[in-house]
Amino acid sequence: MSSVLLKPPRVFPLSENCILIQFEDVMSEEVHRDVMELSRSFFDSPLPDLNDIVPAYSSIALFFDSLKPTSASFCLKDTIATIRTRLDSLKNPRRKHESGRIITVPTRFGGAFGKDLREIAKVKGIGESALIDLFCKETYKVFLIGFRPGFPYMGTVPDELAVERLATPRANVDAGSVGIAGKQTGIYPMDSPGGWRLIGRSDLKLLDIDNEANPTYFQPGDMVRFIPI
Amino acid sequence: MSIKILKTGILDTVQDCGRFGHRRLGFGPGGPMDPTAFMIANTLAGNDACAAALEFSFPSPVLEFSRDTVISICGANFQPSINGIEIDGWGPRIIRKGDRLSFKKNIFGRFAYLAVSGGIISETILGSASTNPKVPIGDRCGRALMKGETLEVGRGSSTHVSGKFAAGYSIRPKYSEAPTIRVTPGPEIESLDTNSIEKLEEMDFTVTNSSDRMGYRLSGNLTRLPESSSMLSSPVTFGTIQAPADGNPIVLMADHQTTGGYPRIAQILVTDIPLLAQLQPGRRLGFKFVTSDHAAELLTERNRDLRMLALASRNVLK
Repeated sequence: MSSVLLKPPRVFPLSENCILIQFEDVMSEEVHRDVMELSRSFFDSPLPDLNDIVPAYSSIALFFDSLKPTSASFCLKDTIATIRTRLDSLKNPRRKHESGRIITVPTRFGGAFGKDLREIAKVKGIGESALIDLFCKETYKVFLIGFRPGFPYMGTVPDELAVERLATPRANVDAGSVGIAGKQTGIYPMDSPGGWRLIGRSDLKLLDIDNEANPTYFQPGDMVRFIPI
Repeated sequence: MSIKILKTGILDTVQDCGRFGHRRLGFGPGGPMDPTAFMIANTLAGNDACAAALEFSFPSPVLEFSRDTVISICGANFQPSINGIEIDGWGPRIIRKGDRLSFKKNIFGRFAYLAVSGGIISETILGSASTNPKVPIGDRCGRALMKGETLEVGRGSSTHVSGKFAAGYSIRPKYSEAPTIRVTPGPEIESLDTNSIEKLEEMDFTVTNSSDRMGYRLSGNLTRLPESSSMLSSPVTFGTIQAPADGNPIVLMADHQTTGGYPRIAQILVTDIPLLAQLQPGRRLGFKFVTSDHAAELLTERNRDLRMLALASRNVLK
């Protein structure tokens, strides 16, 4: 086995224009490193007709241009075979997956800014300020951007603070809200419905659509620290 | 050449085939809800299949044209009329300077397309004019059209159609009031139970009121295995069927999110997405599984049909 990947992933179609590469389905630095490594190889030397790449926690989606009438060349079967060959020959990893950026997020915790903070503190049996300390002690990694444009999925929230999503999502969550879902934390870039438990709010502008080169504040691989204000 | 919006519909947006290359930052592709009807409309107007065109629902907009041109209307049938006289959809139609285009009645469907020869001149953001007011992103800063504003149309418009011409039924989506929609198994199909494929094929689903450009919530009665609740957020796409714990599936539509945490039980075929997109709340549907090889063949066929239609259109448009 010449591949540098920890474990060979499964390769299969999600749809006529999408191929999934699925690693072991766990949230871990190691698996995510493989996800980023392989994604980078597709950015560096793209396959024919490839038009979008989505690296997630433990999988990568590759999207191909097969939906337009002019795209006559794309063949799903052949492309899956090509991807498998590439997986086997992936060598000489650069192994530098973090963007190198450490971003601090000034955050107002609790009260109207974090409507679920009191409840979480109660359920977890710790004080609100101890909860904030615990949360802010960690440095979080942006594993992926998803859900809404610019929404960072970050980990890993300490076990002591991990809480399930709300049973019924809120119809509206304010832009800038910091939420927890299981061992993930995230920041809502815009007002939207949402089921994550809210602990605080930041004033950072996470989306700047007019800046076409860099429309989102966060990128996968960023490291993030929250600072209470 | 321009088109004036005399009256707005409930959701009139400029769309093209979608925004690609930015999913990793959370920007989904957007684009038309019924991509096949959209591409046929453009092709019939002599445009590139992905040129910017208007998507609208019912109640529909009322539009006035500043010059003679060729238009085509495809997708939902809202009884299109020029100066009050009914016209047929699915073919190129001449419209004259000063003519008014309106839509009288919702006969079938939810999303119709107006393509104008030359295409709508639009503002692109991240490579696409596709409009999603909820972000907002796209043409006109991502908002729906407003009363009194105008759509500018590109040059090189055709103004003549020789003979009567229409897209054949074989290349239009096979719309039905109660369709059987073809799907391929999703990555988490086994989060249902052992006989999930058979069960899913036997079940009837209903489109609920919670259905919009982002997703259609169906009412159904799926039972999920209890251990399947803690999946990591994973990539999803247009037509992905998710199964939340309450048994009512969600089908992700044009303005879908890029990743999701619910089990992806099945994937609707590209060729069959229009059949669901056009269903009003209350309509029923069923699913039928096919192989991904068959799905890919059907898409290849549809693309070939669209290329043939483009050749035929070229011969009738002047």
